[in-house]
Amino acid sequence: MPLPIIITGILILVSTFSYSILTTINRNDEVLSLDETTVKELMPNAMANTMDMDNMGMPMFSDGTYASAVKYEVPYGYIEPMEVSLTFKGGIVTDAGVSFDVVNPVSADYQNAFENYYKGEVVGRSVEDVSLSRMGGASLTNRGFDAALTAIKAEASGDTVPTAEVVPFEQSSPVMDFNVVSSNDIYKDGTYVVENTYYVMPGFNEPMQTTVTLENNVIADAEVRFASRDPHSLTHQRDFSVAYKDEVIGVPLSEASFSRIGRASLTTIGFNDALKEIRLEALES
Amino acid sequence: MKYLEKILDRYTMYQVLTTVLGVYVLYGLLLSLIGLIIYPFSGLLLSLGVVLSAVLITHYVLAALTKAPANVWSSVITALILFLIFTPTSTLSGLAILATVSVASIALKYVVRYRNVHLFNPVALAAVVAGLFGLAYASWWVGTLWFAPILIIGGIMVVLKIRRMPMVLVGILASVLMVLIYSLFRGEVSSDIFISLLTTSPLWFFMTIMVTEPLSTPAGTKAQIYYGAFIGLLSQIPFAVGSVFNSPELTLLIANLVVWPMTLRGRLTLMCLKVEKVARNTFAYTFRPSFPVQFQAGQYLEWALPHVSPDGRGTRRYFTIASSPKKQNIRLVVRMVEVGSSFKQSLQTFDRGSVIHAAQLAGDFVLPTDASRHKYLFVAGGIGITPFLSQLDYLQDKRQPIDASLFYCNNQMEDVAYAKKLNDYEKLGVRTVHVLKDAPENWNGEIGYLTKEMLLTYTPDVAERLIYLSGPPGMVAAYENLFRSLGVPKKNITTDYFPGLA
Repeated sequence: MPLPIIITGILILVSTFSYSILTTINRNDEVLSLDETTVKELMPNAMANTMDMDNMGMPMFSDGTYASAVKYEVPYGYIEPMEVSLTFKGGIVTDAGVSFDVVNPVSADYQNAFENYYKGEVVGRSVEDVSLSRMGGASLTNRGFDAALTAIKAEASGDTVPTAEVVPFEQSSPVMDFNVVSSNDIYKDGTYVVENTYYVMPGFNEPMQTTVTLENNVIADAEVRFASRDPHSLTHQRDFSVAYKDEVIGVPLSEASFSRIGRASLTTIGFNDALKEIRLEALES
Repeated sequence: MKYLEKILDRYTMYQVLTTVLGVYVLYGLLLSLIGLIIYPFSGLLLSLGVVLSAVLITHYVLAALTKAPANVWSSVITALILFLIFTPTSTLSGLAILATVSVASIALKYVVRYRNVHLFNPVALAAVVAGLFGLAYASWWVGTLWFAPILIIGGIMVVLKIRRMPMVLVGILASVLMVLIYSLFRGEVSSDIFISLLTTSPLWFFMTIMVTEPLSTPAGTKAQIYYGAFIGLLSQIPFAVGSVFNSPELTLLIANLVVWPMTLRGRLTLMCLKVEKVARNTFAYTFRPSFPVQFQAGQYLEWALPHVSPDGRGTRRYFTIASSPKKQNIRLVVRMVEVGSSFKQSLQTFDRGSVIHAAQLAGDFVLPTDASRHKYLFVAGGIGITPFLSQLDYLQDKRQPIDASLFYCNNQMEDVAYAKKLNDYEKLGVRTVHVLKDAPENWNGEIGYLTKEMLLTYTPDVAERLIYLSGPPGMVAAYENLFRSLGVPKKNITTDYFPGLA
């Protein structure tokens, strides 16, 4: 094999590898030091014992509509947010809904396929029996759903709601993540500060700090700050910064979930995540 | 494996690939009926129909417009692969997008080409282009747990047929290795990552069906192994530049481009200059190629001869080049049988000015680069003399002497080709021993088959020689054992394999 071709091949491998490592790992480290405290505060009962049921191991699911927001990881480090809502009546699932914020366009295909079939697998079944993990074709989306389901079941049986990270794509069993989205929530007035990160391609994080002032359950003021050095992210963050106040202020916190503020969809996802954390914080305090 | 190869050799590449992909499609439909994949049966059928018809219509329209020789089975294979990697859909907009991608994959073959042959894997190119325009992304939906077993079985058949096992195995190992390296760097190693790679990823389909596409792979096993390793490693590095992110299809395009100088670099059109009879039923065709061909003496080309009403053995064959790489014209030596295939019958009508095509260059039956550092023992059975003609002609052109003995085995006197030429090579240091199974009276050569005694008489140092065997598969296998029993290490024996139908 001619030497120039071998050298070209090795150069391509080394440069893509180092580019990939530089754009993923360093960002992760930077971010870890920044939001470590936030993460710890937010996960007091991480992975609490969901199986510790009161009724002799037979969980009772209260009637009502429950919602859970999860994120699942897809290859190349993309994180796909997904919201699941389920209505229970007498231990039977009577209605179901899912929605996605597409991050990686490849996921959209799977999500569309998922949307076309999941209801038939879920609605009308006993809450206990519902599980999508055996279906092939959109297994990562299925895992996201199953994770949301686990969280909803915990909530419906009056148990501790577990919180955890993203459902990793290489993990074969679902890990739970949970955020209650309910319109009846009463939040405490005050100013909340959340530091979090959002994922940008491919799998590295952009840190952001969100300050929200709540008055009568409504967002009275908001302030978002970034610390990016990446020109690509900076552009989107600038677009976001120009637009977000108009869209956000005056919106009830319980309904605050935005899409593509200033056409910056990933930045908006980060902001939505921050709002979810604030919801938890405002309820707990 | 050898047995399986033998069976597969009876069928053409297109037949094997179409069958395997067809089975995948049927299996997918079955999984959908049972409810083990989420795509509805109707969606699968609709998508399949749309992709097939879009591809076939484009194929016939473009073939008519460009008048370029095009094989419809090649397009059917493209369609089946497209169907298997793009998510099936039943929405109108989804089907329109699928149709667009299908048209593009055939059309791009005609646009992104050089000397009448495509530079890139056609499906991969269409997938990357569709992604660039934000139209559609290959989801590799066949990469699911339920598909994995059948993808492995079908993959083995295809890879055996096309003789790319080392390349594909190295590619798979390299993929696993890169996943390991990468997760070590990220500090998240778990067995789940590998289970996921081997069950729910594009790996099997990509490596066995896509990477093996012959026209864009380099000639020679060693180069193919590097190629497989490169693809395996690169495909598992996640990177993104703007909205372009790495994917199996992008990796394949990059690899195609890197090894492009090592392929034939074009589709050859060869014009026949003369036809000579060189032995009984054996003809030598001299062709002028449409562009200079760089090959190593002993390599073969895949020849295509579109002719009226081809038989089941198709319009393509593998033939070793019989002339020296230093000569501009290319010679082909072919033995005809009593009732030949439609291909050979058509070749028999060849005359000055007749035209044939050749595309793929491959083969490992080549002498070491420093040829004069070794001693050799060549065994040719009948028409198996062709690679040696090329190699010896090349050494003659370079005026490079070697120490070699050539045992040329034939049934009868009349079957011996190029006796005078072989005699002339004596000056190079090549001693030719003629062995006839059915010798005439007063024959002073050897009679019967090669034996230990015969070999030791002519070449007492047989164990120190590099052995090259070329001929019918049965003979090659038998003589390989003979040389092993004489103490020749396996690595010193090179055999010219008969690749079967193309």
